[in-house]
Amino acid sequence: MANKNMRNTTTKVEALIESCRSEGKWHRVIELTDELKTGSPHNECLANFLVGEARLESYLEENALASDSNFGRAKSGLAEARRFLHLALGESGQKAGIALDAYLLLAKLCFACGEYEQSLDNFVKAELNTLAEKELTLRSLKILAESYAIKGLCLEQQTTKPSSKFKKAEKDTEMISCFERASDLGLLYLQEYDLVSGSSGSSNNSTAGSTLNVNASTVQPSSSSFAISSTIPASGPSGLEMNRRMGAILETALQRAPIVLIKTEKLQEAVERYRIMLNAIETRATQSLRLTLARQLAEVLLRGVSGTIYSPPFTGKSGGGTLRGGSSKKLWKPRKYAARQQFNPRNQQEEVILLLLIAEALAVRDTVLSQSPEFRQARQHAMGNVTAVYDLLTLATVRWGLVQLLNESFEKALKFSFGEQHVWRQYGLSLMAAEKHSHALRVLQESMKLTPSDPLPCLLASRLCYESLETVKQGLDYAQQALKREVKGLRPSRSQLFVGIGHQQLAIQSNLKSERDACHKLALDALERAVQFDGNDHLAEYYLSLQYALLGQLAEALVHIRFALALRMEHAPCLHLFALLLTSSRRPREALGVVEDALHEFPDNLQLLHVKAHLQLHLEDAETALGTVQHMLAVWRDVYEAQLAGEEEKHSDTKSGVHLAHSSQMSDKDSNSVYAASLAAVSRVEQALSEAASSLSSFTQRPGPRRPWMLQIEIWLLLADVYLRIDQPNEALNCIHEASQIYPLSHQIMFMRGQVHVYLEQWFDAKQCFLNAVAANPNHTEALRALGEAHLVLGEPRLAEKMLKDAAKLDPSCPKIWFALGKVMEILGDFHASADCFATSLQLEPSCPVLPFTSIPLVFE
Amino acid sequence: MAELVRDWLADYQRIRGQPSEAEAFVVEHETDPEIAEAIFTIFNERQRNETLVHDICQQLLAFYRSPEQTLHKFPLQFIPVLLYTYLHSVAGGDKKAARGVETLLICIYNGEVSTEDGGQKVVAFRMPILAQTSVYHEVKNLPMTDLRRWEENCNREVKWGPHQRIESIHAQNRMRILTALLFCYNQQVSQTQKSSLLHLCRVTSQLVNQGFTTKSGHGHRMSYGSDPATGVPFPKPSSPRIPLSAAFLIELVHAIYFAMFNGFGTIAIQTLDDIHNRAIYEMYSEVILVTSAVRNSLHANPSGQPNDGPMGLSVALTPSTTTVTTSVSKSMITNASFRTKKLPDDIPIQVQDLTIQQAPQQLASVTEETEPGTKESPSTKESSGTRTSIMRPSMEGIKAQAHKALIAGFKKSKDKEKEKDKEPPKPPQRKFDKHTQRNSLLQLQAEPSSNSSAEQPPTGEVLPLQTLSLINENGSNSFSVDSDLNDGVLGVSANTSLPPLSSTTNSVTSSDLITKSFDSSIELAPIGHSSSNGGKLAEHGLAE
Repeated sequence: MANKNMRNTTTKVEALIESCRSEGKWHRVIELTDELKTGSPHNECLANFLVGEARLESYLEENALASDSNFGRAKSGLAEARRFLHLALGESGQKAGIALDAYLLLAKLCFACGEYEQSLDNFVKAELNTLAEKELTLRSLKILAESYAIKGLCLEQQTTKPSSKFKKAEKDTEMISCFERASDLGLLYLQEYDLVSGSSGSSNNSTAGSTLNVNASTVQPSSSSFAISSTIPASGPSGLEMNRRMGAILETALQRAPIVLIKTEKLQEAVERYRIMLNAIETRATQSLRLTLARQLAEVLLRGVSGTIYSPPFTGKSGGGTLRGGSSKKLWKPRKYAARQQFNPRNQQEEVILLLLIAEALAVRDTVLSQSPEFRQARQHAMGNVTAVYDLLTLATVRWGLVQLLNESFEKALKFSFGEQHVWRQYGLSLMAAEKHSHALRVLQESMKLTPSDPLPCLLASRLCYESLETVKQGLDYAQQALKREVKGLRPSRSQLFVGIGHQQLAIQSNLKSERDACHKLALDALERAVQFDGNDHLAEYYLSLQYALLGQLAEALVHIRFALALRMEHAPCLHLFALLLTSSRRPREALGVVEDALHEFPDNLQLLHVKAHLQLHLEDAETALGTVQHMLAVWRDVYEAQLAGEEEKHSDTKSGVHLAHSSQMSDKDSNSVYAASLAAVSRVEQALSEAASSLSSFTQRPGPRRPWMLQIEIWLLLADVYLRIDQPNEALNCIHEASQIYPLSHQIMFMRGQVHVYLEQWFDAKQCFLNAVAANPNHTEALRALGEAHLVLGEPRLAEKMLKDAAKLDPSCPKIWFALGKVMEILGDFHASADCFATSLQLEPSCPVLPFTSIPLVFE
Repeated sequence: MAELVRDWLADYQRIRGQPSEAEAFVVEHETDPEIAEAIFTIFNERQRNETLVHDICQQLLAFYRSPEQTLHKFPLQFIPVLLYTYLHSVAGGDKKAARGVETLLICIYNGEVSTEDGGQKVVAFRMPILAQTSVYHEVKNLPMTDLRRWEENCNREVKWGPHQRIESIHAQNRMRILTALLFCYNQQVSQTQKSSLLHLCRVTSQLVNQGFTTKSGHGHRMSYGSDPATGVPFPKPSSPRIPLSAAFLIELVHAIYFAMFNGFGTIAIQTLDDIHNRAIYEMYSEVILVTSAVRNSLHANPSGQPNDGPMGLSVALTPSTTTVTTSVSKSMITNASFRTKKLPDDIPIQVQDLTIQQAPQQLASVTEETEPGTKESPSTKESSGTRTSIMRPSMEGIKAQAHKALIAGFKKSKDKEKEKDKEPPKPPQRKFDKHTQRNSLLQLQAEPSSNSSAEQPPTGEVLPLQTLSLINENGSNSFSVDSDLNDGVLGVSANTSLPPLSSTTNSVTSSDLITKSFDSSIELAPIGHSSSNGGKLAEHGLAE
């Protein structure tokens, strides 16, 4: 009876010991082992093994692993464990079936002490290479996985020593094999552990034996008692314990397996190894590891695999399992994701983006939101992880025009990116690339604060204001800020150029002569300085030439435009300005030649075609101009019809290139600077009227962005003008009707309809049309002048005088206005004023270009 | 050096008319990198070898047209050098000198944008989304906040091409064509010999730096002495800047990125800086975006540098993840703190006993809570995800009390559901569908619902918290609470021993919260959906 009770107690203790071993409670193992020894003295050998194991593992948990400075300390600290494990290697240990485990643990101990040769010897004694696959306990699984990992690490240390080429290749192969088995077993162990710890009740370990019983032909009754399942309920451990559960050795091996393959120039096998590990079902312990693996595989694919040598993953029926060995090794392989209708990447781009999206989700989840100083290190570490993923995502997406995807990622990143200058700047740049101008400006404002000495965000914001947002004053402020920040003097010419452009645009917009003159002077000074800073910048020379042209100094303007063309001879805006300068120098045929040569290089440039048509009209060649304008319609159809049809998919190369080129040419100008002949002029007044028009029940706005449609309106109106020149008013009316179908409230359309009435000498109707045009845009100088002339014909000279004076105030360099005003003053009997007006008109006529200089849109390239 | 190339030219001319000799020619020259190196050198000194450059282009053109695959691929490695030679001549206004190069580029372009059967080549890929299971992930393991992205990207395809064949290059299409050529080069760059990457880096730096002075300060300004009236030609600058488009520069970055991690790290990093500076000068936002990303990844810790090891990947023997994780405190808030957990399907019997004891006192309130409770249960099932936040042990007692109270409420909901089963099956189905959809959107928006019926569940759930707060504040009656519910809850709490008051002290992170006795993750729960709150409390009760 007493013996029977004693045996039952021993069995319970053994079950507890096994459970504590699985959970890593090593101090408890030592206590229970003492109890076991008391109950059964003949289990001394097993007790020695357990004590040695417990001491080894608890030491390693408290000390960093495999650091050179720790080897000496490890030798002394682990001396006791070594002694106990050696005791377990005796003849009795062989019989009990624990010698194999003892050899494996001794190898681990030698590795911790830096004794790599002895570690490898122990693996040979354990016959690690010839183990047969079978089901194992959790603890055995971990021991085995770590053994393969340690063997691989030891072999890696040895490969640095000089040896023969053949031997090195052999060792490389063995090292790779060890790392691969370690990664498979490690993942399997973690998956099994999740199954055990995930159950809320008692856990039943599937065990065929607590030790790797390979050599022993007989099993002693005491050791088989470890098969009894544990009855302790397992609650879910915290994330901290999860990472401790994996251990540094397994984590190193899992990350090192593909890297040694890359080092031995087996890139494809490394990619496959990454894929196998990522295809394994996720465990709580591997979430952090999976982030690293996903990012690294994306890096390898981006950095080392170009399009033609890529092979898709898991193309075989059994997936990567057939890469090494056959299906007979499934027992020691981790479980895989095996749902139906999985997204399986078919090419490099799909796989890279999928991996980075997964890595982003994992990295974002681990970001630290606490702003306490005590968490600064953790916050920076998590931020580094997520930033690395964003950088790779940027590299993978921008090339394909997928900036929208990047915007969404950065938008989510702002939640944890307070004060992170890189993320804010990247977000601003991605919004600019996606043409979300208002939003980009706000983000750039934040970026300016985070980097107070960097002029780049100020310059980017300035360009946004000039080019896209039509807020010149704000843009000028940013340009001046950028100029202040140029303390290093790296590229002050660009800041100067932008300051000059801002002043130039303000001068064009200004209605007061004194204000306009002041802005012109500031613009001239800034642009001169820009040219001095960078004499090789064609853009600075171009804008300086434009500035001289606006000031009426044509000789200087011609000099600088020739400089600009010498610096870049195929620059459409330079050629455009050159042609206009030639017309203002009374050389229209030369100008036409310049434009035709330019059109050889830019066949689809609507700006140059527009100038060509006007030059042909100017040279009284209306028939040829008709062909030119019809060609413009065809070009418009080719360039914009596909875009306006609603095709959302963005071709990364073809369409985006053309679209970007034209969108810069079609830069908006402020409402004050609208000219009838300006092809690219789309004012904010029209934008407001567009909103009013949408409330009309009979008007349906055309689909797609507004800018191409406004461009088509301009082409139709130009065609109407040509038809008037060749005496076909009905055709002109048809063109106007086509333009009205697009947008009925355009002041340009009203003005052109008035021109038709003028042609037909229907003066009252013409007056009404011009009044409508001026009501829509009070700064439309052409309409004001035409209205004045209509008043004159209708016998209303005082009203004509009023209108023409307003027009002259807005555009004092237009000779037609002064000529008409001269006629009005003559009728009113003020002959001195009339003579002055006629003289002014004669003075301005020779230097008047065929189109205003301000009809050239802003350009920044 | 030139002799080697001339021999190579002569050899091919000799065997050109004999197809059987082509294979021998390939075998003889295939493993001869000296030929490629010599050609690179001659292109570098092209001013002195203009005729030879022309002959080389003719030969490369013949190679490209050859049916022999090795000869066909041979010219592709010279694309960067050819691009630079051509662009340099065009920018300098000397197009005639680059006639041969231009012809070769046009021929390669037309060949690369066409398929073997004469169609147009397209490189396309599908857009991955996290809402769809893949070989690398399951939907349930990752946060479900990308519904909008799913809608936008579902069945979306991204393309390169199709491109039209061309007959000539002009200023308008030049950058587009050269960008496509560079894309084709990038597609097969890993098959070229390594030394061509070195020439790629040099040529790229020359492309982006030509015409720029390395020093800051005054550049050389051209003379104003010429008289425009006489038409005297102006002297041209010796090296005008080469115009480059944003898409072209991005392709260059990808080529440099490959060279950076395949043996030419140092020079590639320098070249990347050159591209970055050029992008800043031109203010190409896409290019700055990409170059900044690469430069930052060279400084950041997780991504490796070219010298760290192959592909820039390196792992310390002790991963830094472990070190950082060890120092993580349990009170740290991360994005993972805001996760919901699904309520278990069944409830332990002991909780039912508690409910039964309280049933007589709460009969009057069952009617009031029926509708919100019923609507809550479908949303409870909708909530999914894994909760990974770490709770303090000292809070377990209070959570247990809240859990019991909530379990009682849940019990009533289940009772009501049983009664609804007697009704016709169709109306309840439709009702649940609407409710499910609304709650799904609520989850995504993470905002309190403005619907009056949906507002009631949060209110109902908060009441027990108020009661607990009252207890913690020594019975203060500053809150107005329904008398029946208050009596019921007080009855529940009276049966359990209160934990020490000091253990309930916590700092309040949000002034909107009513109770001060729960830690941060619970405090933030009312902001989300009520099922999140219930899920958290139920989880801890069961865990205990």
